[in-house]
Amino acid sequence: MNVGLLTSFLVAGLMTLSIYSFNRSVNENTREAISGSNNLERLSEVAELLSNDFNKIGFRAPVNPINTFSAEELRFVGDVYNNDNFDTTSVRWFWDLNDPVTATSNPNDFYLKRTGPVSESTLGEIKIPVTYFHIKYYAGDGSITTERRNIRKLEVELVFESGEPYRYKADDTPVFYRTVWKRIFLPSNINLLF
Amino acid sequence: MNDYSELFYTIGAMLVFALFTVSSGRSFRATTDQIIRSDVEFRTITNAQNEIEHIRLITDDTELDSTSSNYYFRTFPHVKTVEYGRNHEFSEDIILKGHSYFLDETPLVRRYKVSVTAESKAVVPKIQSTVEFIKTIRK
Repeated sequence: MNVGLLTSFLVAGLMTLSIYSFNRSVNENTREAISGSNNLERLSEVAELLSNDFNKIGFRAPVNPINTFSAEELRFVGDVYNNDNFDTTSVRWFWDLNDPVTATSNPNDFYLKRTGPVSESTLGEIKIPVTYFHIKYYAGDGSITTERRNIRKLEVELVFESGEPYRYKADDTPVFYRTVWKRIFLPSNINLLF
Repeated sequence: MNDYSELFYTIGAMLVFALFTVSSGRSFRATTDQIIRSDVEFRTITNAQNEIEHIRLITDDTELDSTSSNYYFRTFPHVKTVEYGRNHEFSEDIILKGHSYFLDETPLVRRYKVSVTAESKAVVPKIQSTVEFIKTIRK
C-alpha cells in the first residue's frame, strides 16, 4: 500500500470539503447581505409613501374622510400631494390576501396595493409584496374603536420578507430575511386642534 | 527530502487557505452586523417619531413644563416593549427618554423644544436615535 498516495487522497478530500463548505458559507452570507439591504430599502420607500398618505388623511376634505376601514384596508379622502393636478382624491391601502406574489418562492407574501395619485396627473395602483400588513384604529381616549367617526389614531404594522431564502435549516425549511415596522399616526385633520 | 518539501508546501497552502477563510468570514460578519444595525436604527427612529406624534397634539402648556405634575415626560425614562407579527411572535425593548424646555413666546404663542430619544440594546454597541420637535401652543 502506498502510504503517500493514501495520504494525498485524504488531504485532497479534506481540502475539497473545506472549499465546498467555504463556498457555501460565502453564498449564504452574500444572499443574507443582499436580502437585508433590499428589505431595508423597500421598507424605507414604503414607509415614506405610507407616512405621506396617512398624515394627509382628511386634508382639504369634508368631515368624516375615512370611507372604509378594516385590519387590512383603509380608504380615505385627502389631498395627499400639494404639487399635483389633483385636489382631494380617494386613496386606498389594501393588503389583498387573494393576490399572492407568484414571482418569488416565498409562500407568505401577498400584494399590498396602494391606489391614488402616482404622478402629477395620473391616478394608479402600486403593488408592494409584503408578508403582513395590519392597521389598528383607536379613539381619542386610546381605546380601540370600530366606529368610523371616532377614529383619531392609527397604528400600522408591516412585515417584509425577502422573496428568496438566504439559507435552509437542517430540515430543509427555507429561511427568509425579515424586517418589521410599526408606526403610529395621529393625522391633524381628524384630530382638530382649534 | 523531496517528500518533506512537498509536505511543507501542502501545509503552507492549507494555512494560507485557512487565513483567507477566516478573513472572509470576518468581512461578511461585519457586513451583516452593519445591516442589522441599520435595521435596528430604523426602528428606534420610528419609535421616537411615534412619541412625537402624541406630543404634536398637546394643547396644554403644563404638559411641557418640567415642574408641572402634568408633565408629559414625568414617567420617562421607561422601557417600552414593542411587539410585532400576526401573533406577536417578535418583540423588542425600547428605552424611551425625553424632555422639553421653553424656547420663547410671542403675544400669540409659546414655543417649546421637545426631544425624544429611543434606545435599543438589541445590538452591541447600543443604538440611540433622537428626534427633536418644536411645539407651538396658542395662548
